[in-house]
Amino acid sequence: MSAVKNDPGIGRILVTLDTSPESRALLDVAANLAACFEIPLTGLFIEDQDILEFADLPIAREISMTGKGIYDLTRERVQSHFRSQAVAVRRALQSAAARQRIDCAFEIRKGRSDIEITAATRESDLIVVSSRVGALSRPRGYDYFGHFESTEASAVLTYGDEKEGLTSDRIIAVFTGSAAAREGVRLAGQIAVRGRNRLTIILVDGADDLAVEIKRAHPTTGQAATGAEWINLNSGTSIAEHITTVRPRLVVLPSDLSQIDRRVISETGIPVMVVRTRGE
Amino acid sequence: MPPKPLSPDDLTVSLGPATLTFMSTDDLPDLENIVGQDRALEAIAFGVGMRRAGYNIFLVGPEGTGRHSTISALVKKRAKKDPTPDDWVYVGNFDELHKPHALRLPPGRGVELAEAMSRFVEDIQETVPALFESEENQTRFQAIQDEFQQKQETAFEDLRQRAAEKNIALIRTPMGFGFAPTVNGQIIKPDVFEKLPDSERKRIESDIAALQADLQNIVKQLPGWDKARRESIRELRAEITAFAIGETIASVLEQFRDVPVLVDYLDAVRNDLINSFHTIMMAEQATAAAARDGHGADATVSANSGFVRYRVNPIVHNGERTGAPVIYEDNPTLANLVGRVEYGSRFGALVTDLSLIKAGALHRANGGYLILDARKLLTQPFAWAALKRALKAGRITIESPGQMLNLINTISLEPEPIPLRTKIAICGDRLVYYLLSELDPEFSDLFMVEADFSDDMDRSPETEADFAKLVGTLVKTEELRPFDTSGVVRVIKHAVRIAGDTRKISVHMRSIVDLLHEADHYAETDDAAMVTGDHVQRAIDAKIRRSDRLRERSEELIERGVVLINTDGTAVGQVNGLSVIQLGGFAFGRPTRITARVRLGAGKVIDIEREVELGGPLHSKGVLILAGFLAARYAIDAPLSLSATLVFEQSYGGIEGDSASAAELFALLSALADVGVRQELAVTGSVNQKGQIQAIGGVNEKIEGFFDICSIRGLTGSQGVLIPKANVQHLVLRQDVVDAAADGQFHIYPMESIDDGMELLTGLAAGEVGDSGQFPPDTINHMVEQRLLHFAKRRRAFGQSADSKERSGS
Repeated sequence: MSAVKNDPGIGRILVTLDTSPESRALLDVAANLAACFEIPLTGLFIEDQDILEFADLPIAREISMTGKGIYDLTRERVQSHFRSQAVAVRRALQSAAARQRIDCAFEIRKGRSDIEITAATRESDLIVVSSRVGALSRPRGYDYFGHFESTEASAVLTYGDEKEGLTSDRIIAVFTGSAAAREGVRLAGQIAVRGRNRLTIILVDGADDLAVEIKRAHPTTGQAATGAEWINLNSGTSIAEHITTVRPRLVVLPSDLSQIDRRVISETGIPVMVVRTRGE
Repeated sequence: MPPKPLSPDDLTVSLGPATLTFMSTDDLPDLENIVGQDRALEAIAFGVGMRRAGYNIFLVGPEGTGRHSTISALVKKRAKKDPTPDDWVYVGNFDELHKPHALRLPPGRGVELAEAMSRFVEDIQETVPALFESEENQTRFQAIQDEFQQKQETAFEDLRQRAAEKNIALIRTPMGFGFAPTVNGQIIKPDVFEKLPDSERKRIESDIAALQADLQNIVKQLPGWDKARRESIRELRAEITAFAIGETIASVLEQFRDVPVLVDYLDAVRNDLINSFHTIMMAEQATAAAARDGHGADATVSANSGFVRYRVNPIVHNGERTGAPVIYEDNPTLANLVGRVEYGSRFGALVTDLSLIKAGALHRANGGYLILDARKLLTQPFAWAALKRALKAGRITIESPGQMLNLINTISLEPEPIPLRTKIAICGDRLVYYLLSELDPEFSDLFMVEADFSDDMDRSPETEADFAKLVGTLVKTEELRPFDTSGVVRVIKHAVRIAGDTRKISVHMRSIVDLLHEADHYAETDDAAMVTGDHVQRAIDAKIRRSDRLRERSEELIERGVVLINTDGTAVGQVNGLSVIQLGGFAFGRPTRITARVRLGAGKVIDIEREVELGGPLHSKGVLILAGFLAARYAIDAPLSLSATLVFEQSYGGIEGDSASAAELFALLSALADVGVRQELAVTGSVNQKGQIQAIGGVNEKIEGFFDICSIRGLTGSQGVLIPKANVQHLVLRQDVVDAAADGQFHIYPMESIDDGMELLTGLAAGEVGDSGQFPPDTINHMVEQRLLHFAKRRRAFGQSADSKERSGS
């Protein structure tokens, strides 16, 4: 993959890390993006306060991943696990960064995950988070962009539960005509160029003249967009259906797409990056 | 009576238009058979005809005798009538990928199969993924995924909701899951929990226990659900793959329905594809992505792991051949002989696949004939041993020296050995053949046919005519100008000279072909339409001229008196001996002064060359014979009280052979008789204890060497060379020597005995023992005898004097 010229829009990527398989996949996605934009990658490991407090309860029990045992959960046991997990994820981060030849930083925070992520991302432009971030189990299609709405990041990328790798080499960007959508198409184009992926741009409003505008507004992206496939779709549901069929590597959505549409699309389990403009 | 000089007719071969009745080689029919190699031809015919194992042929003979061209021509002729061997292909072994199978196919079908499978692999790489990615099949895959996802999520969501209804949250802990009581969506603080009434705490504990049990049940079912999902996906993939490849493989099968072995193979391909297509595709995509991203270390690197396993390597293809193959391997390395597995570099690792199996000469010659050079074969590491193994086992096993010696540790292949049925013909010189026979116990079992190539053939009018036809055939095949009769005659004379025997003609083909080429060159220089005897002579002279710098130097040293050789007058105890110097392909004769000194002694003839270790064993033997001769002829009744020294004057190198023993004896007898020896004569020949002169080698070069010295100084008419009579039959002298002899300027004397030589050299009669038991007075032998008796008496006198002194002393 060839790197694209660093753009002032994305200057730093933050990825939340744990020891789950999803987190490893997430790390690879984030490292790829960091290499794409030639920017450093920050790994964040959170010693979740919710879990520690749960461990302080006299009734705290832990059921193993295999379901074969139930163990008493104590604060010491949790802290011990946190320490060993931190070492493991730090090593994984450094390894991924070395492979992509990018700089990396590693940070451990103690507290509630959403608060700590928000605090850690004040200087980051793109947050890459697992759909399993935080201790509390959340329903499918949870709006993570809304969850991190208070951050100053330009984009939030969530990695779903997709496991089978049936995804194609395609990247889909949804274009609504907003400033965030333009930024999203621009980023999608850069990622497509870098990863030699095919790019599909879905025009929600079906306005063909918008495509011309994109090409004019973003010469670099326009080059990728010129070879892109252009599709007119009208609703989040039809977009989600298309995504389900194509199984792209990444879906780039603008923040102005409705929360319902975002949720429908997120439910496909495909990695979704929600982009907004600064100050939005 | 001293022997008379030989007539000029005795000095060279005489042949000419009388025996060769043609104007030019254009008039001659082509030679159908190879001349002068009847024994070898019979052996080759036998070896080629014998189809049993071990009857391979070793062509024994010197370089240039036409072993290669002969065996090549004969086996090519035979090979045309032999059946065309089958093709051999290497195909994937889907049970053990690193051990490709070898399949035997009718001629031409191997390449056809390779092309068909290549198209097949390209087709399936396009069609199968396309079918996988079709909307219909993607939906089917997604349905399976969704079913699993739905089942899992439904179970968890249901559990989460049931927990939430009881103000309990499902929590992901570092190593699993847990249930925590909540207040307003937040996990309850421990102190708050402590303050809850016991009944409430017990209720919460009870609810959590129930939820934990439910969660355990869900989690325990997850692997089973996932396994079922994977199995469903696998079955769907197999179904899609089977459908996608069905038509394509059926068309290949139809194409090769007449080759039963391929039915099983194509069935195996089908089954393997159904099971492995997706895995291979994913691995190839991952490898391609890793290569693109520069993550070589992440790539899968193993032998035959990709779609290449379905390709076919036509290692031996005989489709365009008629008859059996005849292969000559000029560089018989192990790899060139038994084939090799090549490697490519992939992400820094050496990898290979069945398409990189390369055939060796044994593969290409399978079902036909393989011609090799013994020295080249034996000087290549492991090659001889590998050839023997292949012949003994009757199959070709591809071996790598690196792996045999554990020098290379990388993923490799073990191609299935291929049955071998090849006639091997090895060309080697006699030394190699005899060494192999002596030292290699397997050799005689594997090379049971010895085809011995002769250096020469008997000379007769018939063989001369055959030789003329050979020249004519060579002229045509080498595209030279035609040779006229004189040219052919000169070539034959040269062949006789090479043989060194007037009754033989050399069949050293390389020398003859070279001479024809060079003579043609001079004809071209003269713009002549035909090559004449003059052109051939110029070619011979030019070749000598190119090589005779040292001869010229040697003659110059003699001419300038640096090397002392007399060619007139007489000298006591001094004889001109003759030796031959061989430098590469050129030999020349050189006179050497041999001197002898005698005195009273204990019967010992001292060879100074031997004393200083310059004389070889044969030379020393010749000298020791002299003492035997002297004692037997002159000192039967008296002790041989002689001490003599013999020297090759101004000789600074090693001397070997006994061809100078006659000259040494003449010098010794001259010294004993105190009679001068004619220095205008030179001598060559060996002598036995009875004084008979025996044949030696290089007689022509020796005579010419002395003639050249005499010519430089001026021929006097009394100069000449004494040679053994047995060597007269070997005389093929240069024309200038023959002409000088015809003019009475130079003489060649045949001698049968020492007496013949001494009479010529001294001008005195040798003398025979008379009735009195003594040699007649004034004969050489008498003088020698008297001198030896004198020595004996003196020695006895010395002995008596010493005894009396000893007695008086005691």
